[in-house]
Amino acid sequence: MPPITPEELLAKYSDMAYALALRLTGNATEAEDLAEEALIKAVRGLDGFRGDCETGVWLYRIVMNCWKSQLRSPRLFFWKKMKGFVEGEAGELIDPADPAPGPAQQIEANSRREAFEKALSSLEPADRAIVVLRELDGRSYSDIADVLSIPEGTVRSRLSRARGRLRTILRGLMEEK
Amino acid sequence: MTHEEIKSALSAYFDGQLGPEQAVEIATHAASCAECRAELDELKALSEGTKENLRVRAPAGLADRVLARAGAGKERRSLLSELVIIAVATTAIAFLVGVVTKKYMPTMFQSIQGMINGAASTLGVSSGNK
Repeated sequence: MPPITPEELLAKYSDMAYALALRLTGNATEAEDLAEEALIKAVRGLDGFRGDCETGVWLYRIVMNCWKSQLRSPRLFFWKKMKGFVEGEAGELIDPADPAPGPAQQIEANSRREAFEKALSSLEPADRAIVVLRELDGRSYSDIADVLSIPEGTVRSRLSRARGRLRTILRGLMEEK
Repeated sequence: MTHEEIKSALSAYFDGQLGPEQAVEIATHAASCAECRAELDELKALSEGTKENLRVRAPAGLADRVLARAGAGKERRSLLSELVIIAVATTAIAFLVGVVTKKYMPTMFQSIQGMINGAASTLGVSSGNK
């Protein structure tokens, strides 16, 4: 029997699945699609999940896999290019007009929040995922390594580097104001 | 560890992700190093700011849509498997009835076969039971 019901899974993890999807895609519409796809897969796959790992780790892995398959989808790539997306350092497509508009569109504009959004959007998608899993979900380095299929030492160094970058950018943004 | 090594491990120390020996070494160093203490303060501020400013809620209705779509998919799959089971069971029963009829009621079997062949030749196709 699965360790969690679909309703419990959705109540507990929808926000984080969406947060992770948002930071990976950098776009609210795509994040919603990605989170929905991953959550549907998770709910359908619950019968086969025996709790071999922590439920959150299992679900976030599904989010990562869905995101990776979307990145590999030639159809999506084509349409994004048509819509004016540009290729990022890691080969991902970034919406130049809207680097991280999701939360800013939903919540009243707030300069501090905007600064954090801007700083986070400057990171690579995988580094954003690491920051979000650590800061918003309090995941251990070992859990994050499992989710992203990378060594624990890499999580440690990438998180440290990402934090350094966030601090530099935030400092710059605060000084501008 | 040197000061630079400690600085690069501060993020993991802040997260409580180091072993006890390393953690004690860093705590001891930070107690007498203003630069490392300032760095730890910044890490704390960044962490609090991230939690405060970057937390988002899933869009309204997402969970309901997921439940509806996941359920619809499961129903479709279970309906399809039911249809397959019914088709296999029907074929198996027809085959068994045929075998039993041929063995125990050969006359009836021949007349049924004759009827099938007759219908097939009327339609202009071969019944495959010549």
